[in-house]
Amino acid sequence: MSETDPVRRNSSSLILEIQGLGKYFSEFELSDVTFSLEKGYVMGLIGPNGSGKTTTIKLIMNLLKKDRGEIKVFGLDHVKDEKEIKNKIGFVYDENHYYGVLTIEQMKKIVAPMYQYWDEHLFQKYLKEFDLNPKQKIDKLSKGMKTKFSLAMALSHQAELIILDEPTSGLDPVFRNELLEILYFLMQDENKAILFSTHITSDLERIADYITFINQGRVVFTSEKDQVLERFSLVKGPNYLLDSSLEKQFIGLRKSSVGFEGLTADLEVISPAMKEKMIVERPTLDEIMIYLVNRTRMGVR
Amino acid sequence: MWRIILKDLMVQKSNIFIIIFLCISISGTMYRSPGIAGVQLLLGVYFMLIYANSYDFKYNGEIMINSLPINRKEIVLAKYLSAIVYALIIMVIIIPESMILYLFNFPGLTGSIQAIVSFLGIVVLLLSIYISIYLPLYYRLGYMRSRWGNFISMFVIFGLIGAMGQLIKIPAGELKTTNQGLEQLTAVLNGYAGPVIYLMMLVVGMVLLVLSFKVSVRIYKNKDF
Amino acid sequence: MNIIISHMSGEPIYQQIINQIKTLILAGDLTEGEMLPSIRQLGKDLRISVITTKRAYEELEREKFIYSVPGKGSFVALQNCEARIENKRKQIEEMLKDVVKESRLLNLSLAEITEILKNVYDDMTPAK
Repeated sequence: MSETDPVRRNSSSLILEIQGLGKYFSEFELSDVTFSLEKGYVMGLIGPNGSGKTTTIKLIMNLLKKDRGEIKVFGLDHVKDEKEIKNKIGFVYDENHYYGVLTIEQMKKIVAPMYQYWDEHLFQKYLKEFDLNPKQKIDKLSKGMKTKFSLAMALSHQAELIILDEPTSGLDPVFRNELLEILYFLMQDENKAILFSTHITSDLERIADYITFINQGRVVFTSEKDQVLERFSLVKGPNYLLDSSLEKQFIGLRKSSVGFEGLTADLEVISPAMKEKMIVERPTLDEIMIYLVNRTRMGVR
Repeated sequence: MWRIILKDLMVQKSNIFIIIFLCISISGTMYRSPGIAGVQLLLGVYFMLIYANSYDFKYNGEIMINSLPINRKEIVLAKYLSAIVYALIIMVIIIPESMILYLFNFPGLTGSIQAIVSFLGIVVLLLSIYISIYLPLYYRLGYMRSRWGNFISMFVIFGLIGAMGQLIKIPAGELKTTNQGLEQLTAVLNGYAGPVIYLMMLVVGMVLLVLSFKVSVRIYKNKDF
Repeated sequence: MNIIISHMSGEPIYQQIINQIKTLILAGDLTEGEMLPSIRQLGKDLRISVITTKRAYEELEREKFIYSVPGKGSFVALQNCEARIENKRKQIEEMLKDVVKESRLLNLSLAEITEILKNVYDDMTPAK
């Protein structure tokens, strides 16, 4: 089910280009990761925990050294032109790596001058909007506030690529909604792009334009989100309908005493007569991910 | 890059040890014996360096720093320069304070400009040796495991100082040795060596630091976070 | 302009947008030359992907309901309303032809066909 990259239309509008990326660890291997992101769009990176999402992001940011492959950001090599690229990248990570013993104000004094286009006015605006006290020690902030602080920093230097790695894990739906609002607002500017990695796919159901699904270090697919949701169907029906030919059409099946539920990418193959007796629904990203992951786990490709 | 040094300085605010230490050093040591004062400065830099590194470790700050628009060479340079900055800060306290005590004829203080020059010379050498050993180890082994490296280099340095300390007690001229090196060393420790020696110490120190820097950069460039 | 979409209905979202905008235009709620929200604004307001709104607008443009001016936005096109309504009627007529053909196979009378039509209509009308 691997998919060739649908985004590589206009090279100059590509903010992120990853080609054949590979990294070898003793217990895990990321291999042949390929996908791109054009400016003006949001790419969701989904996959179960440990699938390689964070590794991919670290490789983009050159926090890890790649073993194979090519990464271009804004058309530039991500290692050779590291500084120039990072000037225009805003990052929000899962763990807050700021120096907790310092205050927000102090941390800003260190980081802000390192960026070429720091917008102090905008930063202050975000602090106010997020209700953050600049004199507060970062240690004393709640997880949500730390993430908001990271966000304020990431958005205050005219970044064109915003990279978020699990920014909402451990945070309540209210905050997740606030974050989405902010991202929607950002995307009014068609020169920006967002790479959003998460295992909470409901966050992406709405805003993502593209989805790249990574599992066990490999890209399972990278497509337009709408196409992904249209390609798969969630089918539910009575057990007696199941025979070996029908079962073959399913990527995954969940059988219970009161019926079955399955994911299929081949809805057309099932006869209309059969379909009459079943319920066909659009699956959520979660469901797609669950079925695909379980299929791989069982050794079926 | 200077901002990274600022970061290291900002986290020092709560470094009690250095404050206590600097207070203790207030005794015009520089004039009593430039050698001992040099060691005191070294200890001061050691405290500050370890303290800053402990915070880098605690918060895993390198991940954030490396995500900023800065390259790895600059990050390493900032660490080396920060050690020098610490030394300068301590000197800015020790030197004027000693001079004032001297001017007020605090008992036991001898020497003058020579003492300062001697002190500086010793500082440059000791600091260079210490930093040149510790920092590459720090980058190679990480914060936790490099701490023993600190102690080892300290032992080595103190051992040398101790040995040299014995020589202080022997006034120049009476040292029955043809070893020019030892004579020069004694001259330095007692505060009246010639400028050439100091120049040599400076050069050796610089060379050590540059070599160490190159090694550290190579190690750091290959690090994965 | 009000657009309400349902994520549950099973109908693709871009299709819902197309249909609703078409209805608004045909009913006169959106007048000729009126500017539509940008695809990004619409995406934000409906909380959906920009690609979805883009697709809807592209389809509407293809069917000549709207036109786009690069750099400015999308606008309601001059509608030949009567022609459109006439077209739609013709389409419905064709569909009814099929219905009659099928019904004849079962020998249904006009009254029976009308009864079925009434039932279907009632079923599709949301209860008040």
